Amino acid sequence: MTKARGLGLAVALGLAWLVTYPLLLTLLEALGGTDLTLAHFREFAGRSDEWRALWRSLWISVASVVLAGLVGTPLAFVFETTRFPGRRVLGALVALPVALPPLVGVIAFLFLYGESGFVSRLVQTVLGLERPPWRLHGPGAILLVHTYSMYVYFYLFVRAALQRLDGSMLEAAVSLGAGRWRTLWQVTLPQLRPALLGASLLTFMTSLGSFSAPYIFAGGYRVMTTQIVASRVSGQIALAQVEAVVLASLALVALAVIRRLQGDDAVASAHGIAPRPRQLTHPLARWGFAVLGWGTALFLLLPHATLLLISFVPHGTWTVEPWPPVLDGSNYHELFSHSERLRPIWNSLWMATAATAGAVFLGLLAARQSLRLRGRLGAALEALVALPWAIPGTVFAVALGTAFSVHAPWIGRFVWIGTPIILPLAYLVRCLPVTGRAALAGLRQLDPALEEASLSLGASRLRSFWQVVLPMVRPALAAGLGLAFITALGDFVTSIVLYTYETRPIAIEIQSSLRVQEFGIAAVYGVLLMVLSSAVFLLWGRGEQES
Amino acid sequence: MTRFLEIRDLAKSFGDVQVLQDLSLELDEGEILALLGLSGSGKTTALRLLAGFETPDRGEILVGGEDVTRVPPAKRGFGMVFQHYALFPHMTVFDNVAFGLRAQGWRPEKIGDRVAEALRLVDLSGFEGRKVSEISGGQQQRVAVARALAPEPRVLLLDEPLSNLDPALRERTRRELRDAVRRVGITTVLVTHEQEEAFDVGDRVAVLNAGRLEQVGSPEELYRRPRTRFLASFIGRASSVRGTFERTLDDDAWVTIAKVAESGTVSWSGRAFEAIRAGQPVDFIVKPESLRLVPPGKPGAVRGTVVERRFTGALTYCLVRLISGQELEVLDDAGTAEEGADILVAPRGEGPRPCVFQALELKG
Repeated sequence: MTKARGLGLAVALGLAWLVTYPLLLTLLEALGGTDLTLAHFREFAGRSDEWRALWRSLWISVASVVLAGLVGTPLAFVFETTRFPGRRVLGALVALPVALPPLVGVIAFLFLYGESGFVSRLVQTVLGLERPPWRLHGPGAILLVHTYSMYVYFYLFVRAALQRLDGSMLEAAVSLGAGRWRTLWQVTLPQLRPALLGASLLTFMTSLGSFSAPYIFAGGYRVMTTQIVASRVSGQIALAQVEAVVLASLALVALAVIRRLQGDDAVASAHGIAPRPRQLTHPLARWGFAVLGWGTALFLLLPHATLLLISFVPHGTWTVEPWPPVLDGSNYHELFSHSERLRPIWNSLWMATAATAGAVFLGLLAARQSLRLRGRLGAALEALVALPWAIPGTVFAVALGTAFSVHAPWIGRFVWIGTPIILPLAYLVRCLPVTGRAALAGLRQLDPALEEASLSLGASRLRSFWQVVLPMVRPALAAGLGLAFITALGDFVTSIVLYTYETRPIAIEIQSSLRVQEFGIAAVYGVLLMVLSSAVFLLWGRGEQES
Repeated sequence: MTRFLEIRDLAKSFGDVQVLQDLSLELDEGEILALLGLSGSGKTTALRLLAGFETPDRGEILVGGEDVTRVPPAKRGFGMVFQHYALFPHMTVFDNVAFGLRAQGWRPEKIGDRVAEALRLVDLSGFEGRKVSEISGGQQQRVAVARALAPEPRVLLLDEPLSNLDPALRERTRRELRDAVRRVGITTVLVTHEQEEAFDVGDRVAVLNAGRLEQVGSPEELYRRPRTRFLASFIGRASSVRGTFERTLDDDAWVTIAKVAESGTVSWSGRAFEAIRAGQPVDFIVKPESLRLVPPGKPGAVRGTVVERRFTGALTYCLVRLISGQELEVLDDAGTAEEGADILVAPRGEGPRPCVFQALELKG
């Protein structure tokens, strides 16, 4: 066991160096480094715009939870408890926004509902208005995008919980004389509490760290993430560090509060059989649901479709018409015939691949050692892997930027900022919770007797791992791998802090294209990201089914 | 002559809990030993220590004179059949059985023959290409046995190998398992909580209770001459009746007189394993097959009421409440006693001797 302990300790140290060390260094530098001072914090506390940004981050996150819950939960009920034409296909489509990188979703919304957006123009033309009917700007726009991309958490979590629900429990309630509503409120919903809280937590943390939507839609309307980047870009490094520390603290407090709420949930373990979906027999109801379902799907797919359409609009040809007058492949041709335009794609691909490989390796190693050792070291390994999940991406970017801008190898600091190392490293840290959790889930489900059987048959630990453990956890691992790859491939939030021109990823290139009004080019990049992500998402989905 | 497998003073605790204390056992080559015990008795820990998945706090394990106590499982050369089989679900039957051969570096051309041989042994020839999820529970169990036996281990360890099968299948599989193991002639340790399984498969049975070895012996010996109170009531069914020790008679049979009737007393005899003084309260532990229902007028009988009748097909048992309020289970040969009937119970001449132990003052 000493060998396992040694390895566990080494992994824990490595993870601490990657995960906690940069955060601690940031805190230390926010406190003035060696000459300890609260001056920077005092400066932060004295500025009203900082407090405003903090308040906005908080209320937008709460509102996102409420809105996403209001959309996602009923959808889950509809798809899980009733049968109607197209239920299976739609059920899968509804989860699609989760595979859309945040920035791509944001620009799709911009092209769709923005001032010169497709729908805006349509409404303007139909109603004969002078100006666009609305402006996609400020908190409303942020919340719209958040709801669109985050209701999926509620949808997926609640659907899974409904599938695990013990149908006989509902029958017991009904047999005791409870009506449909009483059963829903007193039996079903309490059983869904963990799922609802889990989705709330995920939505809250994602909103708190959300950067793309506030950055694109609400230039002057600063939330904490955009505030941090603005401070850093304007050279106020210390202030950015203080802001990062404050945002990280807010995230950790929120995490603790929601975890506390989750605490002692008593949920019946799944022994029973899930209640069967209700077959809608009345033709009107069937078609009503079908129309509603397909309508929803259309709304959900509209951003994807718009992105595709815009990618075929040549530069400068679409001005005031409701429908683009020219459609051709010139943007694609432009992109694929210039190596400098292709560079971000290669950058994103290799950096995401390297980061995912590293995250899978580290996550698997940490999960395995955590389960083998248990005890305090095991718990520490699990916590280290999970921590980056709770820390907004912007904060991590600032922390990594702080840690790796000094040459001091003896204390584990290198000048990696401005080199091709920093971005894959940042992606790796950000992906670690996903791959680590997947590995943990896979390994936990694994019957320990399988490995013991292999050992007792004379196979070495390494051989047992490769031939027995790894094949068994592959489906779970594939799910984590897919999600990690999508996250890294479409990353905008850490990239904008740490990129260099040579290593600029796709998301940065999209933003640059938008800035110079090359909407078609931005759309092509968006389509490529979308296609790559969806392909990975579909592969990942299949992996899930096999498990 | 030294024994083939020797277990000496094996002890293991998890935290504060001592799960196994000073276990010593010896097996001859080719012998099958059943480790019998309730859950929590330490039998599974004993098996895991043998397999090398746990390291003992004290004690030694020797195979053919070689100390393997600290040899890792992969190098120990012990085969194991797991409770839930632990077949590798992503491999075929063939790959499962060949796994150990490949891991131990068998030459590829010999592997095919050996796998075929192992599968023939468990009567599964022709199943090589099947996925393990495609075969029945009984077949999976046999694949697990074939997989464990294929690399020709020195010792075979069976962890409740039949508990996962439904009762109808269990008896047949048990016979097949016993035959396969006998045919190979491998030294085997079987862990089970089923007495019937232990008696049927084991040449000898070792009974564990709360981490201690109670007794080891042939099934016959354990049934006829249990040495401890636990064994006397654990093997088969048994009732306990309170009595008073009277005197000892003859060399080999200590006789106790139990006052079991309100009006007057009767004397029943049993076997005592401890020194008891006259007049001391004792527990008289007796199996239903050592008692019978007798017609009125028989001497040495006690009066009682049938409170429950249990018909198992071939045999009928009666639960009889004595006037003292204590309950006795009795084998009813005729099977005619009805619930509520007043009857008389007396010892049978044959059947295992009842046991007498100092009374346990458990309550009040």
